[in-house]
Amino acid sequence: MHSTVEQIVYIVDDDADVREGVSALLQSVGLEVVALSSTIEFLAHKRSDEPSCLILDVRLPGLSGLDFQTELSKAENDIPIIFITGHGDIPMTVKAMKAGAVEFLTKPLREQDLLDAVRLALERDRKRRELQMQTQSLRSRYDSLSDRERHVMRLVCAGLMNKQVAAEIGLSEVTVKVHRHNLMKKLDARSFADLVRMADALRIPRGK
Amino acid sequence: MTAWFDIRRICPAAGFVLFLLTSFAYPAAAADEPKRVMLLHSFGRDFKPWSEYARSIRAELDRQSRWRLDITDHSLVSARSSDEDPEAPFVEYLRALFAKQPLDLIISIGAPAAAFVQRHRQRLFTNTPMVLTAVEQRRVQYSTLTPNDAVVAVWINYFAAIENILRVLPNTKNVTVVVGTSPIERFWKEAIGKESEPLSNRINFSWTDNLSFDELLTQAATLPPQSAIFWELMIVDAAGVVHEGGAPLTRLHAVANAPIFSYDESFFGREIVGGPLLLVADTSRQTAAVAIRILGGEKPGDINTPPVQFARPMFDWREMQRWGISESRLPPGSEIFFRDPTAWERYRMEILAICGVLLAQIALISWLIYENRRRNRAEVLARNSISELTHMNRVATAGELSASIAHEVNQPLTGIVARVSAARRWLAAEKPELDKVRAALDQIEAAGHRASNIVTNVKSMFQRNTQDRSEIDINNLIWTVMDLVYIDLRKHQIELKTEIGDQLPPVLGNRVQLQQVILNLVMNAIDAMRSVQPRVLFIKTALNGRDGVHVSIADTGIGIDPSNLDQIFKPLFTTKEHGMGMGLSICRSIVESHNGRIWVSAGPERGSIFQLVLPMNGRGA
Repeated sequence: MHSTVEQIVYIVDDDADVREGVSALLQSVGLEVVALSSTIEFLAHKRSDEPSCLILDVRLPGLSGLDFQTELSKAENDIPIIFITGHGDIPMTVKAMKAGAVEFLTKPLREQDLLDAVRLALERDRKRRELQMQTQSLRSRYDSLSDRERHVMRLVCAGLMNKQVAAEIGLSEVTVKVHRHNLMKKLDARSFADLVRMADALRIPRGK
Repeated sequence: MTAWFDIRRICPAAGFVLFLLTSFAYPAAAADEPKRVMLLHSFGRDFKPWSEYARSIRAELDRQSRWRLDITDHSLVSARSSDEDPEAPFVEYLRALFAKQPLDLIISIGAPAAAFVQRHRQRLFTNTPMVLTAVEQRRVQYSTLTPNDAVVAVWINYFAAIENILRVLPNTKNVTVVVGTSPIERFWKEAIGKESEPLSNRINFSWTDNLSFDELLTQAATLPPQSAIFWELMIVDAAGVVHEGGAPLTRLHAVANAPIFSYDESFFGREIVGGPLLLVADTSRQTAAVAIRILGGEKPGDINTPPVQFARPMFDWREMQRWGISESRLPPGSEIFFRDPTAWERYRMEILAICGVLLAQIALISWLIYENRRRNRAEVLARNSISELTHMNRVATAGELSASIAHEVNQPLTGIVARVSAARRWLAAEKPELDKVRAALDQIEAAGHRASNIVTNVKSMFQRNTQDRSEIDINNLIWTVMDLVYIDLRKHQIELKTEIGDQLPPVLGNRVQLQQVILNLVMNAIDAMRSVQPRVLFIKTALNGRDGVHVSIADTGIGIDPSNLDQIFKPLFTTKEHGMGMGLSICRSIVESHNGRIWVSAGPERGSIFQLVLPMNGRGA
């Protein structure tokens, strides 16, 4: 398991037996667990920045698990969710899975099902975090480009030749080549294809 | 008239013309004078059949005559005996009577009168025209008729008349001919005897001319079977008594034990059966016509009329009924008179009214039956929907409840299962973490108790009302349940048989619960018989041992698969499509809570028998 990597499993269930039992199971495989009795507690909990997932009871006092899932999604909180329920029906499951739940498990939980789901959820969160981090570093490199370089990048990525770019901006072709070289270096792009991928990741509009 | 005077004054020749005119006008002037007609009766004015002829002829004369008529009646009393001596003074009397006022016409009615006038033609107004009528042709002395005589005769076909008796009553063996002793009667006795000679091999004729009328009546009352009476004439009986009018025939009819026949319409109307008859009207009309022609100036001797014969046969319906003569026996063309009006003719309004009332009643009854059916159907439907609703409600409630119970129990179970997994891992670690395992076990135990408590709570929640016990008459309880299901029984056409034990001890128990048990078993029985025939529900109660009650509910339904017999009382076991598998398990738990026993076995032929035993003092479980 990823016992060496720091990661946290949150569990929210109003029933102490369930909460503590599941906590014990997860702890027994070396996972760090934060057991909480309500969604309010969960929101109040200061989350550390490491891969995590949420085991959420569907039937909760106040806001239901499914509604809470919607709330989190609105708040752009992408923590993977594993639902647990005493009696899940198909519409409920479909709704949860469509909204991006990792798994929908029925109580009493099967050990392997739960552990697999947790593993999957943590892996998904880790990947998400990696992707997020990559995008962030690219963004900071892009931020270091001059306005002229950004302009040249837009046009080049739109498929214009250096000559055309020069004509468009009103520079000499040589100058354009210099700008292009510089920006690729700043962005750490190894090829033109790499540059285009980066433009896509940064969601830079192509063209003038 | 003024014009005539003018002419007389103007021209003397006119006087001659006037004379001529007046002499020619004389007959016309004589028209103002009444025509004098004498009707000469044979015996008297009230002797049948001639009395009828005389009356009818008078009426016809009045009807047909252009002149005023002065009709006088005279009777030939001497005809009653063969003594002709009194005739001469009677002739003189008539001569004297009409000497001053001569008669225009003499009409003799009947054979004696005809014979009389013929005998005395020379002395009786030789020039006065005479019509001999209502006389049988055989009684007319055609050779002595003068040119001033006309005859309107009748022809009585006695053979046909007697044959008619045999036709309508073919078994007739004896015919008694009623005839008196006066000369004309004796004549006809002989004539009839001769004429019916050909029938003498089939019929024994007897005659009444040697009997007084009273003797005749006595005899007529005791005629042998297969007899008939032929009424000829009864003017003078053997005792010398003269019989007038219709009375003799009526008296005979009153006592006679045989049907009476005759030959003349004037006897028809009550007493005689009928047959071919002379019609009075035929003769009268013809007589009047001849008389008018003679009064009009025609010579009597020139007028020849054929004898009047039998008209088409007439029968009296009442006599036909009395003597059992069917209509099919009558000669063709017969006419039936005095037919009893049929019930329809007589009581048409009443029958119509009664039919109307009946129809109205039928309509009303039909309507009521229809309404009743409709009401029953509506009742069944309503009950169906109610029971469906109740069922849905029950299912829904049970669903809610079970979901809730499942959730409640699932929580501790989830905890237990998760901790077991954890404990297993802790034990499997290189360095088993026994403290943690111990803690997990403690928590597992607690969670187990929690689950148990939840179940106990649920159970006690449902048992809240089941502890009330009272003494229950099980028969009474069963009838209460049957009241609830009678519509279902009727709807499914299930026959209910009961064998109720009397003097059963009361059972100490919960009324509602026990009703539930019986209702459940009965409803199961009804369900089981849905697709089979016959459908019989048999409920039996009896004493069980000394202090218990035995109830048996048997059906003729589809029965229970033997492999299911031991599972049928288990909860959640069901063979029904929409069953919940709760009914029988609840029944068993109720019966057991009453210290009773419930079991099921297959019926003798088909179906199942549910039996339960409840002790008298079923102490609560």
